[in-house]
Amino acid sequence: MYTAIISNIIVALIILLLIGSAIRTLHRQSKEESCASCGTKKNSACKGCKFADSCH
Amino acid sequence: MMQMTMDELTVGQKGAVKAINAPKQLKRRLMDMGFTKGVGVEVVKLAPMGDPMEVSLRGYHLCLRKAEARAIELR
Amino acid sequence: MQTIALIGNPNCGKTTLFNTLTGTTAYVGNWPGVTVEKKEGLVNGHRILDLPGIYSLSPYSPEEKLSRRYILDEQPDLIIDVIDATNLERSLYLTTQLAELGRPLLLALNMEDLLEKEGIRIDARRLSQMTGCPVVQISASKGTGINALLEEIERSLEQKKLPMQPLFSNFIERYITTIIEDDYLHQIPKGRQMRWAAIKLLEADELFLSSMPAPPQAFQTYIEQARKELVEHYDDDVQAIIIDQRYKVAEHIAKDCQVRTKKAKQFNFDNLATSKFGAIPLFIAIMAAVFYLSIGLVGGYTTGWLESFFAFASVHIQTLADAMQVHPLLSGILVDGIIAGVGAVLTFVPQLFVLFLLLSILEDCGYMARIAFIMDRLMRSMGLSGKSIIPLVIGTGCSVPAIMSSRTIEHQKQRELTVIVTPFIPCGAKMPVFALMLTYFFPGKWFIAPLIYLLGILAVIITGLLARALDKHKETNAFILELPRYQIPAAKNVWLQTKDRTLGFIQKAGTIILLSSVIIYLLSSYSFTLQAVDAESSMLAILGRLISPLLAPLGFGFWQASVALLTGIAAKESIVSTLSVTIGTASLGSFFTPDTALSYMTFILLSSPCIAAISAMFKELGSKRKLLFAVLWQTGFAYVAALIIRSATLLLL
Repeated sequence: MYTAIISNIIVALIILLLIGSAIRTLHRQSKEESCASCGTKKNSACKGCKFADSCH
Repeated sequence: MMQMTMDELTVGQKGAVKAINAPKQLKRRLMDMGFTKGVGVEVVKLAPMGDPMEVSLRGYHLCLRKAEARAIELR
Repeated sequence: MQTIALIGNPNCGKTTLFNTLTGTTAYVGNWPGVTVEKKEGLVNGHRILDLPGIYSLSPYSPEEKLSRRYILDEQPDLIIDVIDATNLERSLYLTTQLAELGRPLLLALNMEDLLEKEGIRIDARRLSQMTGCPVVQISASKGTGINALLEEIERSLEQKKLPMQPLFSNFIERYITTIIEDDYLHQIPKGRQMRWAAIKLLEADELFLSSMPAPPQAFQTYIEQARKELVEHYDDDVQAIIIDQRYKVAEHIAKDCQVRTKKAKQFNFDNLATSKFGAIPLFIAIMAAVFYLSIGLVGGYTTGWLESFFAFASVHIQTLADAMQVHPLLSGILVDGIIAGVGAVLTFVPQLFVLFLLLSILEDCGYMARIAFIMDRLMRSMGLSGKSIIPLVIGTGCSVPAIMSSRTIEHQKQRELTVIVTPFIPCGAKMPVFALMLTYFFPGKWFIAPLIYLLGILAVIITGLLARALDKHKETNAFILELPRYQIPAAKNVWLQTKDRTLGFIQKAGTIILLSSVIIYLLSSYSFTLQAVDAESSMLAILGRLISPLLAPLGFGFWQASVALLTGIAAKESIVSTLSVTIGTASLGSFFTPDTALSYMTFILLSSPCIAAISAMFKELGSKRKLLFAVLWQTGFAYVAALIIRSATLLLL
């Protein structure tokens, strides 16, 4: 009984972890790669522009 | 003497640039690549279908079409 | 933090030097607004920026404009001019322009190791005296001279010594001196040098003139008079005169600094690579070898191994989960969703690694320029340029860098056409789909795989011919391309590029593919009332049936195929993972028949690419209207082609 509950929780956690890290990576990537967007808004600089602090 | 352009050279023939008769932008590009007055050029080979051509100048190799080579007048 | 800009001609070994200097700190992005690659990294705590390879600062191409604007506006603390020592004269032409920008300049004399073979000796001390710049001899590919370069960078950053100005003939210098003395020149924007400004005024450089207030009448008259006298004296336009003068300076320095000894005789691969009858067969053979090695040889073994590994893993995890009484929803997401979907895609990593490796060797060895050279005539008859072949070759790996590499095509129409046809060439991500279908339906029929590539090429040709026939202007354009020396690619460059592309593929499996697999699994297991149901009455089936009638004429009007195509928009590998989640790779035969499999592959081959490639297309085409046209053309073409293929196979089989 307890093993079933624990194993269910473990599997659920694994799935959530995988999905969470996938979403985080995608989110980070979209921020890094959207350099074209950094011209319009302040503080929206992508990683490359921040690094170069050359956001116009 | 008749004027001669670079596309008329055959493989292995050499010449020296006399003038470039091309629209501003093309002329500028050709000159940037080193085709200035007096520079020596040699046709190294032609592409399998006879065009474009490979020329050597200033110690390096460049390819360009015969249409562009026609803009380069030799003496 | 101080800033260093790395600049030099294309093919001068700049990228190799950049990779050597920055190691793992490099970051690659795009310059805002233009699709010119922006590479940055750290060296000794200074920021170093890799500017695009250019021959001149005459602001015509986006690369030239960008480099000039960067140096003038951002004022880097040091410019490192990478010079191909075997090509001194032309490299120094760029140096004569850099010297006028008022920034400290350091000359990195690269390819030192090749000098002996080329029969050249260079007196670095003399070169330093004549240019007023420190000179360091290096070999970026061999890694020699790097320490000396690092020391010189520190010294130059400290001393901030400006280079010597290249002097032109007295006839021109007179005008330059007079212009500099005029008060008008004090109005030049910050960071510009007087001498540079004077030359730009004489040249009537539009970019510069627009940054200046209108000159007083007397001064304007003087400039015009000066231009007129120059044109009369040299019998050429002013810009040409200045280029001529710069090359004279470059010639003079090169002549003084280099001694030519005897050139070593060596086997000339080029005689074969561009020979009249051998060139095109050799190109085809090389491409065939690339595919045979990656997909045939490596893929043949590894895909099978990895497939059985994932099958083994999912069976055991499923058994374990059942024994532990894990809820079927959870174990389903994990096994039938994530492991099935991601695993189906990951089995292709080894062969893609080899494909990316071989392609980056091809890109780096100097052969690509020869392909452009030999194919130009042929490509031109299709409304493309010889340079279009480069994106098409790179496109066999991934369409995104391929579309970006179309940048080098000068003519706008040809560039746009290249962008539209590049996705017709099957990229690495489409390979899993073909491999899956081919091994299931056509085992042992090895000749079908090359036919797929041929079909892609055919689509390129037909589109090109049509575009050419419809183009009323038939304007011609320039095709000027340096044919660089053949070289053994620097291992580091090849490794970095291969690693980045392979990791990108793996990362996609862990992100987009993983998420879409989970979503597809959930949608295919539940009904709209959130009841666990049979796949046939699931949400996914209902959604898929909305579009499947459209695809019915092509022979795959069942919802699984439609849904797979939709997920393919996110990433083409998703088609495989979706099929394996909804159908299961083992039971493809109960849905597809050989003829519908062929038409499905045709449709996938030619229809619009994944979202990443679409956004790359958008950046290059620069207009929504053109993008819409491109995507519609590709998908329409795919539809018709799939219809034809299916009818033909039905007739033949």
